[in-house]
Amino acid sequence: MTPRKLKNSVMGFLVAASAVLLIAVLVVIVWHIFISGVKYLNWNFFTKAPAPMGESGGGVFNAIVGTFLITLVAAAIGTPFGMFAGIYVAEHRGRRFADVVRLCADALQGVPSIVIGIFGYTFLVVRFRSYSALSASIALAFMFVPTTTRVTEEVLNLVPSGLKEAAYALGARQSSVVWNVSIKTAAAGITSGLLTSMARIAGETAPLLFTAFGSRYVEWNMLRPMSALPLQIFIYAGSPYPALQQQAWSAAFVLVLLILLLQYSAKHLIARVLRVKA
Amino acid sequence: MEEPVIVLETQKINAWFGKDQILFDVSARIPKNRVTAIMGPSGCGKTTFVRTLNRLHQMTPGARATGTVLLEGIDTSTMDVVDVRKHIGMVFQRPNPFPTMTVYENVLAGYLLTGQRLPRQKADQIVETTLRKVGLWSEVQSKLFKAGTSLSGGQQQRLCIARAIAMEPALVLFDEPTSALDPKSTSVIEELLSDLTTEYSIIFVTHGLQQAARVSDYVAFFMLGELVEFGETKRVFVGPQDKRTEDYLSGKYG
Repeated sequence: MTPRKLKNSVMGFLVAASAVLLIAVLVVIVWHIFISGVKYLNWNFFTKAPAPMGESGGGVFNAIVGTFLITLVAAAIGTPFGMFAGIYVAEHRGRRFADVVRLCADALQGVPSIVIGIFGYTFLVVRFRSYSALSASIALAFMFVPTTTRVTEEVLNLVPSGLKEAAYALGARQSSVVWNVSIKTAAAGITSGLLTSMARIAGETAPLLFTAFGSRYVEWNMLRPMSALPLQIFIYAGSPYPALQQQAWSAAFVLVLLILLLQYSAKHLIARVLRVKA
Repeated sequence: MEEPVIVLETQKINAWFGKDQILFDVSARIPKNRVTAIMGPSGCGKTTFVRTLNRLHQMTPGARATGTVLLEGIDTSTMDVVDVRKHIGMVFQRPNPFPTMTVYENVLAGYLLTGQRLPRQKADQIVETTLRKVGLWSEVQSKLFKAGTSLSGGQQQRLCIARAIAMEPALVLFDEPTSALDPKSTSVIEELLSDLTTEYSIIFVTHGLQQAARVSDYVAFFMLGELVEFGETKRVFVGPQDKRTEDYLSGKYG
């Protein structure tokens, strides 16, 4: 074997091995959570709040409700800000202020989630003297905005400049071009970006510790403490009771399933729209 | 030779990208209801010239232009840019129908994007007559509500021509509209041009000598950002007055 061929096969092996490793890690995690969690899943798990201390049974309905509410409200708060900032950055490429916005979005993405949590605690929880789901949503919105901004910008940049020029050449104004051409053409990509960002914040734990705090009851009021799946997992997994530890696995399974589902629909949405256009 | 009616006149157009000057004092008089070809070697400023006419050039960051453009005698710098572009349509190198719009909507895109509402009957009528003008009606009659991008490349480009002339412009700029098309689609579009001149004036950018000779009544020869020669196509091809035109026509550069 010549050195060149040897080098080729070594590199080929490394590349393939890394790819397999990536799949293996995911499979091991998902499989382990599935095995550990699925056996305790039952109807009560999805529909009942936690049982009173010392009693067996009960479920995580409170956490499921909490995760949906907190995530959806965070997305509702963050979507306009993230999208508008993304549109701004994409439409003003090359301007210094747009570069600053982009840089800040990247920096904000890099802020550890625990810091975001402390921020939420200091400025919202302390100020309003109460843990609340809303403060959790606002904290998560701070994580949602920068990813949405960047995704929106990237997707808008993929819109062929020829389409925008064609619109301008027909006499369209910038606002019309942005809304009727860029956004519409990029709609699927933006939606899929929103879903991915939602999947990301749905699994966040640290910001919730300081803001949503957790609750043993099914809570619909955003102004009160609320549970969420990651919080419930955190609390149950650290508890000394085997029954709760088992429920932590089940909750982990539900959470992972939820996030994978969100990400799958994000991908699927892109694929479907691309097929339609081709 | 009788003096043609002039639809558009430029006076001393200069254009820059950043510090690079692309056009130098270009003054031209574009005849009405004729095809005027803009030809010249790559990078001579052909495309920049037509893009200054509808002020698309100025939209590129760092790009600017000076000089006067008179459209039917009116200085376009006194007009709103939206009106300028309504009266000066454009067809681009690559067919670029809007992928989110149907064939029908693409024809009406100029109205839709500028927020003009049309009564249903009027809209139907514009779509049909415009598509007939570009010879597309019989081909797409049954596909009006399919995506504009589902058509073939040549059909897409004719759809883009329809989109431009649906606004009833005085002048249509064609920026090498056939460079991305196969020979058959190219000849369909070339044949279309003379039909269109009954209603519209046309500026047709091309780097192909033969194409300029085939399609145009007048020709403007550009080199290094200067308008070197302008005249009736027959006259310029048979007896160029400038040495540079002669050299280009005989294939010395290009």
